[in-house]
Amino acid sequence: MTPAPESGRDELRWKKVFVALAALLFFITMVSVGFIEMWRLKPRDQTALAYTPADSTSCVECHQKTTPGIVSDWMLSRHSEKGVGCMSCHSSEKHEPDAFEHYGAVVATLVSPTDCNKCHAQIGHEFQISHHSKAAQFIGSLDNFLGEFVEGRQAAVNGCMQCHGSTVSVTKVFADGQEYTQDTGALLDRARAALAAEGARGLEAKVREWCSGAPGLAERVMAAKDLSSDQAVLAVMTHQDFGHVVEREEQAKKLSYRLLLERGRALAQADLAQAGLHDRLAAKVKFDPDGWPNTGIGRINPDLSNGSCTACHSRHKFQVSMAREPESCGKCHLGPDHPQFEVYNESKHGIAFRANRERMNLEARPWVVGRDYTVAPTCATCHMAATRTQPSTHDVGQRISWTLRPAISTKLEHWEERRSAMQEVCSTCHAPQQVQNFYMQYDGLVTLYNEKFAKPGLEIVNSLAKVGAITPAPTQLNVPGVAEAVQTLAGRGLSPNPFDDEIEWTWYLLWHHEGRRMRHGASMMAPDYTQWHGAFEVAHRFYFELVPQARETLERALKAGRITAAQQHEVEQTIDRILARPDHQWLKGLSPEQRREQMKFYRERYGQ
Amino acid sequence: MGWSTCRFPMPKPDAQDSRLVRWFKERVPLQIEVFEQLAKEPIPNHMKRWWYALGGTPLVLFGILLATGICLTFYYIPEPGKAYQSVQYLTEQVYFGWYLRSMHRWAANLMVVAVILHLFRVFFTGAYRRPRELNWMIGCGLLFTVLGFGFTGYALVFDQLSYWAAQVGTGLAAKTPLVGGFFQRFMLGGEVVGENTLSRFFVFHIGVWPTVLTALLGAHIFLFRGLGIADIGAKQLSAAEARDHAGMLKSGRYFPFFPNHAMTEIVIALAILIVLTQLSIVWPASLVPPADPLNTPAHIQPEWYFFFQFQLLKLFPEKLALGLQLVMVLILVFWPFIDRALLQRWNNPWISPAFGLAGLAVFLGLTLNEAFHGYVLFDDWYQRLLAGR
Repeated sequence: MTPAPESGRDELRWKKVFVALAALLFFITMVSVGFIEMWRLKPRDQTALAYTPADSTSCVECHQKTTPGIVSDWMLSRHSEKGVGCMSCHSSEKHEPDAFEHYGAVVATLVSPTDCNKCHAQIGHEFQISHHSKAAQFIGSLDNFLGEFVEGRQAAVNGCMQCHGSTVSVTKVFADGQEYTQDTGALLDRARAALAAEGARGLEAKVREWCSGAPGLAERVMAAKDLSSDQAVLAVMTHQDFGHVVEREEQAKKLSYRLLLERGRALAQADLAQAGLHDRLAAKVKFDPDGWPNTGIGRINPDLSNGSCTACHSRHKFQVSMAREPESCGKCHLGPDHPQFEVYNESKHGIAFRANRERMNLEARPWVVGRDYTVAPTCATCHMAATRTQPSTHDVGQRISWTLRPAISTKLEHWEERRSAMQEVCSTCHAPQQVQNFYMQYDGLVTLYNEKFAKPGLEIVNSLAKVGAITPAPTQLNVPGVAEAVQTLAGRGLSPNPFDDEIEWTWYLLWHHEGRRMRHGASMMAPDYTQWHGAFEVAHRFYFELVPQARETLERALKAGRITAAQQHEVEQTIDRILARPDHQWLKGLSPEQRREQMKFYRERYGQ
Repeated sequence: MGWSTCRFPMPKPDAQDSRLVRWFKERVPLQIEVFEQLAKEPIPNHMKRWWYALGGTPLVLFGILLATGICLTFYYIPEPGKAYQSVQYLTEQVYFGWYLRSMHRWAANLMVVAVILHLFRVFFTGAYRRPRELNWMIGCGLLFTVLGFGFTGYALVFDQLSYWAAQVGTGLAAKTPLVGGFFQRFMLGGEVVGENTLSRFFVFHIGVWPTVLTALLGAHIFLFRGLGIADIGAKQLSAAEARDHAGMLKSGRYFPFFPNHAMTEIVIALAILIVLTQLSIVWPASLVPPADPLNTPAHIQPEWYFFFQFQLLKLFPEKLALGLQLVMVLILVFWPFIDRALLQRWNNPWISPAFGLAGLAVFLGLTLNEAFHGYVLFDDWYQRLLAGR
């Protein structure tokens, strides 16, 4: 059948339309390629200064001469690639506690997480809910007492605080020589007190904005009297607002942090106004040398924010690969009390990392284990990095199920979820049974430590405190009977002190150093740390120092008249009862079978 | 005109021709009428369907590859110490270098896709049957040449992936019985991938394969234009009918090549350019770290179009896998004759499509398995088989 000529012509007409459309589309595509090329070549075509945003050009020009290291680091950073310049992070406003005038610009030397959060909000939030962000809030700890008082302030400033973080106080110096100091620690206390006293009434608008996603939450938050901590905020929340318990806790932490910052800022500005300085711009600022320089991870900044991103992402290069290196964590997580870095190095994971460092793809974005690299994990891999099913997180405790920090280890809240998260990381390279059995081994070790040494050790030390044979540590005051002993000691002019008795040092070394080595060694599969640096030392300290010292302490206290014979007998009975447990039966000597076994072994193996 | 010694019929002068046209007609022995006739060649109506234009697609892609390839050659240095750096320079520093490289890379991939699709289209429509058996075999030669292009081109980047792919590829060639060792040494120019390998791959990529491809393509086009496009589902025309173009066009079962089909090809060419550009923007050709002979990457993989063979080597012992590949290649090349023998034996028109579907399933299954898992499909089954259980 002959087609109508009309239909042929129509067909041709349509084809011409198609050709025209395709040509137009191709032209648009090529124009977009041209734009991409222009955008791509823009920074490279010009000098190094062209990387710099306009507001930071003069900073770079001058600092290239005065502090070339800073500028060259920044030039190598991703920030410079993206046009994030000096002023993106260092610009400030005159009422800010550390703002000053610098060649016509208002700047702040110290960059706090508040500044970083402007672009990295999610990461900032993850960090704020992490244990890392609270690292500087350790004033009441035994470690801080050691650093600040037993050893001395400068030991704490140069030692403890460089990891935990300092509290950065700052003095504004005005052109006429007038000075104004912000005591950041005091401001923090006042902000907390104000929140505790006022609730959120003074921040009503903000609270309404922040809580807008949860019906009724703003009213409950504002009605609350005490919002000085995330626990207080959490107490206000109820299940129907946030279905998931972990999410609810995260939101509470986020909200309480923002309330605190807001209240701190208001108080700081009120202080400045009261001093008649709120409209004046400082000519320079002086940081309290006890507090700065400091890149401790939980640093309390003048704006009351917690943390220092440079703790891991060294300024001004902010290399992501550096933060992923085990050495980065090893700045603080090492040494006799928590040798995570050494433990990792000794483990197969550490060995595999060193053997395959060049295959770790440390600069990759994203950096997903099992996809972007497979040869070894680093600290960041297990505790923070993305996996095939989990996103990366800056909440470093999110995958930790046991806390190995205290004298007696406990499982953390929601430990099952945390453990599942970690096991998912393990499963990238290990079969399920291997992962499960590892956790059984690890749980077994921690339980052994807890039951055989930690709980008995603590019971002995508490018994001594209870009868008044030693001055108790403040941490023992909630042990039944200790408060009464403190009253008796007070009559003799003594007060609680965690380190004035030799046995307290012994106990501290047992759990804080050797006990942690034992547990950390097992947690990351470092056999030598578990055994010789850990369990062996713990056993020696327990049997041949703690127990004998307890008996000697009782003798001395009896002679000094601080305890009665009955009290001595009571504690001795406690010690005997502990040592009578099956775990400690080896003290009574080897059984004939064990004796024969040992003799045979040494004869056959060593000819002895 | 008297001074002309040309043995071809000269173009006929026309009173309306301009002086310039007359000047050319006196000097160029080409008859425009012949081209006009060729341009108006009747095309069967089934070619109006877009998927029948797959034969033209590789031609367009070849043009793009040629153009971008020439540009890339301006910058590429085929030396082990400089190859990677020159590719890096081209990608990062040269104006539109990333675009040219990405277009070349994507066009190469699409070329393989287009040739394979064209092959399957020809197979399932039976367009390889008499008298087009020879053209089928030339088409197979084109496919192997395209794969040769891919193998040599991939290695030229001289990054970790391409280096190790070349190492493994030449290693496999060595397993070929009798000639394997010689073949490997010939490709490598020595015992290992090095300077000689790179220059040989380069010469093959920009000299040998283009020449072979052009020759085969010319023969392919000559044959299909000479024999005419297979009229699917229609009765074979007699020689006289096939020469009567006007009659064929009048019959309504054919339409003229120009402008109707030419328009289709232009739309396809533009669409290919747009798709390639978009792919180049979204997934530009990247670079992994440079080749390091002392550092074997965790995962060595050839380009996707060799996944099929790669999986065969994982599934079967080396010699068996190589033997299977050889048999498959022979079946593919000589399929028109095998097909005829099968039809004569069983007279069942479904045998050929069944073979084709089975081949397609095996090809896709093995390719996808390598692409998405990287490990052997049916591994447990195969292990049990090996263990005799």
